[in-house]
Amino acid sequence: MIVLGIDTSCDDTSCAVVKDGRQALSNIVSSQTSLHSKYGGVVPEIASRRHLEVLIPVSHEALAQAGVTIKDIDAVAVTNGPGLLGSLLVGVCYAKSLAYAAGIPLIDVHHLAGHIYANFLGEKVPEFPLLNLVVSGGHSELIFMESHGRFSVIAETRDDAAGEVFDKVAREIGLGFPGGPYLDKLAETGDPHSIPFPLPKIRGSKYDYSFSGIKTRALLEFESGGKAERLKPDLAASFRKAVVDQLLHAVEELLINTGARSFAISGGVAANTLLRRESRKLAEELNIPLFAPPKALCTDNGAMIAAAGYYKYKVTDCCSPEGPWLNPLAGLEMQSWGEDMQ
Amino acid sequence: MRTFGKTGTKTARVLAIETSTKLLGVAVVDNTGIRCELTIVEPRIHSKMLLPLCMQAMDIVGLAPGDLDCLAVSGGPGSFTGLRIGFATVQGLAFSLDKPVAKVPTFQVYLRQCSAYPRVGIVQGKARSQTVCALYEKVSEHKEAWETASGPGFWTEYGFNETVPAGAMAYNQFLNDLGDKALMPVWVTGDAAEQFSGVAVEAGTYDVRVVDSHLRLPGPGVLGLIGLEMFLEGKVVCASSAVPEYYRRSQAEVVFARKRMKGDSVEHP
Repeated sequence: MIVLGIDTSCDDTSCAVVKDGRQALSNIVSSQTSLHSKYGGVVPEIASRRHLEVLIPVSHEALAQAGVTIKDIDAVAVTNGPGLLGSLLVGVCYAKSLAYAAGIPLIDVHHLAGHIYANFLGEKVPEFPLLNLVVSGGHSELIFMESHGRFSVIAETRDDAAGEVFDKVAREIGLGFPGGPYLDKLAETGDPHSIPFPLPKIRGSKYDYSFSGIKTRALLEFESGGKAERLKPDLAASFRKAVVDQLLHAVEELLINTGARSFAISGGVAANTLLRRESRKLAEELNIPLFAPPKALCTDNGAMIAAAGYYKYKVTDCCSPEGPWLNPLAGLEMQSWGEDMQ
Repeated sequence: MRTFGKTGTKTARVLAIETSTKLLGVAVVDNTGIRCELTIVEPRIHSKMLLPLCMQAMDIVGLAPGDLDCLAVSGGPGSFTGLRIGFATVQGLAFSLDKPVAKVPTFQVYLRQCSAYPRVGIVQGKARSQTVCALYEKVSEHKEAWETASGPGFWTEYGFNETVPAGAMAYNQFLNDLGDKALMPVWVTGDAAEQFSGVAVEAGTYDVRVVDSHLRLPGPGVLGLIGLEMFLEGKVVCASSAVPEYYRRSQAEVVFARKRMKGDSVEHP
């Protein structure tokens, strides 16, 4: 079964062709970073306009590189949320009409399910039960899965997402946009123990995250040091460690308590060097296999959407032409597959 | 009768999609005229209802997607999001079917609907930041006569001369652009025609008359008829070139340009 996956949830336009949910025959991503960098962040109106300009060229490229035509596609999978509304609309409307005209099913995919299924692209796939740490510019969540499409959110962020604070701190200390990767690189040269960051205490849940406090602390530290250039590596290293420590602080306990047989990290921040390193260490100690997608599959891409779409189609077996009713406002709450069908 | 298309069919069929205003509309048009026209006037239902409406229109006239020769879409100006819903849908259809797209300027639709009036003002966009206006005047009742009289560079449509070209402007500026008040009245159309007429009455300078409400929103049937003409004349684009004419930049770009002009250092928002 060949699935065309489409993702336009934020500022990247992506289409991919995936065979049987495992083999990415192509995965084309058109980045808009250069359009938004002068504004210091993603401008929704500009992002939406750009998606519409590049969707068809990106689709053409995805089909060509996979060596297939539209007639070979068995289903279309599209991100229907969460994300920038204007951007999502473009992808969803496009996918709906494409599927209708081609007479094939349309599968709506929650963006986080997409990130999780990036780990299912490849020869070796995670075993259930599976604990997922999904971290990106918009999300920081621990999601437990007993089987395909059974999601329970164990922890989420109360304020900023981890990727968001990486980008914001990087921007404020002048590292450019998107700052996460730059900060990660700079942090490799600094001393992570130079500035202590306490682990935040969160009322109500011992697993939830909060990153706004350590973001503020990092910025205050930078200002009180006179914004000196020499502060940057140590600050970056200490800040990165604080974020990663918090992301992983409950993982060991959860892996043991839930009886998870695999641990997976995904999302843009899963490309972070320290998070990958620390996760691997933790998994090795517990003798549980760690899954982390290659860096190209950490950031938003169509292949992960196609993979999730494939499994969703297999599990629910009820993707009908009713898909055209798909509303991009739906899907903000992560629901298990089958329960989100009307 | 002309023949076209791979199969040499003698009937060209166009699916027209109108989403530039709060009117959501779909029509199927062929050489015989409008076969089916479905409209809903309701904001914020476009993305959800557009494709079901398309499917219904196609079912009513008994056509499958593959029977279409061309897709027509309202090209703008209009609601940014509305236009994108229409264009993204048309792109998906055109890409999948490998069919061309007729990008019909939205003001042409208004103009065709108001072709009985000699002097037509179009005011579209209720939000202050999204207003686009234009003025058209009939120079001759006869298209041919007018066409020979006009030099190159004129934008013409059914004997209308574009006196004030479509552009982003405030109501007051458009009022000034209407010219001498001694001229004949201006019949205004567009989704912001009433607001504009209110401003005009207050200013008390021009005889501005609002056309009937059924002419104040662009209809998909008329859009389809123009789209069919464009298809027959070869004025179509491929799916990947089908993007809207916004007539206005995004707010972020406007603010950025203003700051830069003032010489302020451009701080990140």
